Amino acid sequence: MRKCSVEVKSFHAVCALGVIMIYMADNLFNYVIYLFIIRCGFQINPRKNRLFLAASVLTVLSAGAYNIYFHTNSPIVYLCWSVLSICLFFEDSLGHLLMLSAALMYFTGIMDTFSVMLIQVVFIGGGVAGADITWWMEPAYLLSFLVYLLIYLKLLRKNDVYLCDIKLKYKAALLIQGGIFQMFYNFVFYFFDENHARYGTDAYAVFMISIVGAVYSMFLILGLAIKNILSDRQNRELQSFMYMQKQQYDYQLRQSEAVRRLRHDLVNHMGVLRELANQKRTEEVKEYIDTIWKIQEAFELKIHTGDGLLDVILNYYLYLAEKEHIEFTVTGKLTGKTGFEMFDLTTLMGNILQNALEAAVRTTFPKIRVDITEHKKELFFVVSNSVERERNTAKGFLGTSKADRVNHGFGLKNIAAVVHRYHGEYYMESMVENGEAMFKISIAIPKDLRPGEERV
Amino acid sequence: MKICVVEDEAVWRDKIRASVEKYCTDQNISAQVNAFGSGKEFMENADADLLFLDIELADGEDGFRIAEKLMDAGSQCRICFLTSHAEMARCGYRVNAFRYIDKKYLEEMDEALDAFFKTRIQERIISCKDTAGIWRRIHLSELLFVETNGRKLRYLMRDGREHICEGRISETAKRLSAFGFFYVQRSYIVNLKYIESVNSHEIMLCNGLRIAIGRVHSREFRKEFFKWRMLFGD
Repeated sequence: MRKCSVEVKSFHAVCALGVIMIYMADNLFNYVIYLFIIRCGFQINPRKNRLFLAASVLTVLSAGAYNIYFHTNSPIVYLCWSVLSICLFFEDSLGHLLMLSAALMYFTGIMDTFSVMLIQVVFIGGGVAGADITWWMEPAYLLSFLVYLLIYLKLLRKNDVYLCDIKLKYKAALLIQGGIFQMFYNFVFYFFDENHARYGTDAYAVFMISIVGAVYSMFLILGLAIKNILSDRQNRELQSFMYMQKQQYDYQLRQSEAVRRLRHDLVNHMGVLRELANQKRTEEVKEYIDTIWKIQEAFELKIHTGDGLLDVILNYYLYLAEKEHIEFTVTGKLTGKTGFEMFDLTTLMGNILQNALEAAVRTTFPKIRVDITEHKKELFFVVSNSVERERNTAKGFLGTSKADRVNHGFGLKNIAAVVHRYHGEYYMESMVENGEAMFKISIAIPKDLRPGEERV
Repeated sequence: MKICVVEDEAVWRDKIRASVEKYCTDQNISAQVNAFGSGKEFMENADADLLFLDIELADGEDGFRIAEKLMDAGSQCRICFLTSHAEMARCGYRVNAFRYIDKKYLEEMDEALDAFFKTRIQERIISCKDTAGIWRRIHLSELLFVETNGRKLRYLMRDGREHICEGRISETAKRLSAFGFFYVQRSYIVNLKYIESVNSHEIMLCNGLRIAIGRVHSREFRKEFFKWRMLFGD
């Protein structure tokens, strides 16, 4: 008997502890979800300083301890710890983090409500009164986390678009939509609960389906926003291509105009030469010819690789480089055309050389080197340029160092896309050559494959 | 190593020959340098590892034609074309040349020679002691792979010969890594030159042998193989 009563006592103690610990678990689950959404969804990096990270975790734990001690789940404490721990954990502007944490609290609140309702409907069949948190509510976090994970995998990571890229109006629309849904469902749910006897399980089933539908509609809106961004991105890609083409075309136009002018002047030059020859002033004839020779040299394409289109691109960048006093050298020749579609070659070489130019211009001894190597089965392009300082990112992807982030930083992605389409390989590296920091990109493209074909 | 120069103008011919010879003495490379005044003269006994070939030769001879003939005959010779500015401007390069060198910038020859000798990196012999205690001379460019064989190493040559020698694979890998060999996994060091094809997890050598690439080495291997292909061709 006695033993039994001890067991009962300890059972009560465990129950009491469980009831208390729920506050801690609640905080922790929320915390993990926040971290996941901000890190993966918004792509914001955690702080490097471990002290801040520890302080962030400590905030959550102490808030949990406070809740346990006072046996309460006050919204004020919740607000304080969540904002503070987010601001401590992530490295971003404080204003943005504050706004983000407020919006997140609102939105995850909505999702939690939905999840709790679903669980109540599915497992309990509705009709539970009381506003306190209890253990059966906790799987709701798992449910909402699964929704976030699904969004991350199916929408964000798949399209390489993250929540930070999404326009504010879509974000606001999602929040408002969620808010309206929540208000509506709260109202209906209370009504159901109060009139429990009147409505059977089928009403709850319909309720469940409609909640799932509401979540799905938010999913769709997000998908739409992402599509929007993707098409924007493509648009910009095309625009930059058009811009590059136009620049090259303008350059060619200027060249041909100069040639026309020279041809027009040719008659005059001939006249002068004949006159000089008549007077047997051979030295002056020679000088005159040299001058004209030099003028005509300027019109010639200076770089000849064997591929006409590549020549146009390289000569254009040679012209730009010379204007900026950048040393620009091209070595290597091709036995024929590269086999690239025009759009792809312009995208590939244009982006590489544009990046090289912009990086080199900021150095003291700017130089760009292009090496072309042709082997039986593969073509190799290596472009190296001087950079301000050595940089090598762990992610294997270089972000832009330019101020205008929105319009830049896609260059390398475009390069990667073209290389991938032609079944090629590329490597980027930073190195120090003769005491100068250089950036090098090497590309290999198989010659026997056309885009789209599969390797056998 | 045989290096030949074909150039019709004596002034250039001597100048080019002299700079090749100077490079070789500076770099301590033993090479035989021959100069010819015409393509015909060279083709009588066309034997060279590296050829500096003028594009426009006297008597209407064309450097490209000579190069084509040489390639058709199956020569492994690397060709550096010598051009003057006017020829540089010509489009279309029918022959896959090793380099094009502008005669106005003959200093470019050093870079070409550097690159050429780099491609000959496997032209060397290592020796190791076999199980009978005899020192074996192994020509690196003929070596297919090295694998562990019990506590010994097995060196398989391209012609099928094999040597079982003493040594540790990790040390051998370190020694060979500078010469176009890669330690693809615990028990294999392969010659990058004889890799026929590669997929995400294994390589196939020219003798049909498939070897799995160690997971840890995979990235590094792709990079090294890329560099090798770029430098040495196929």
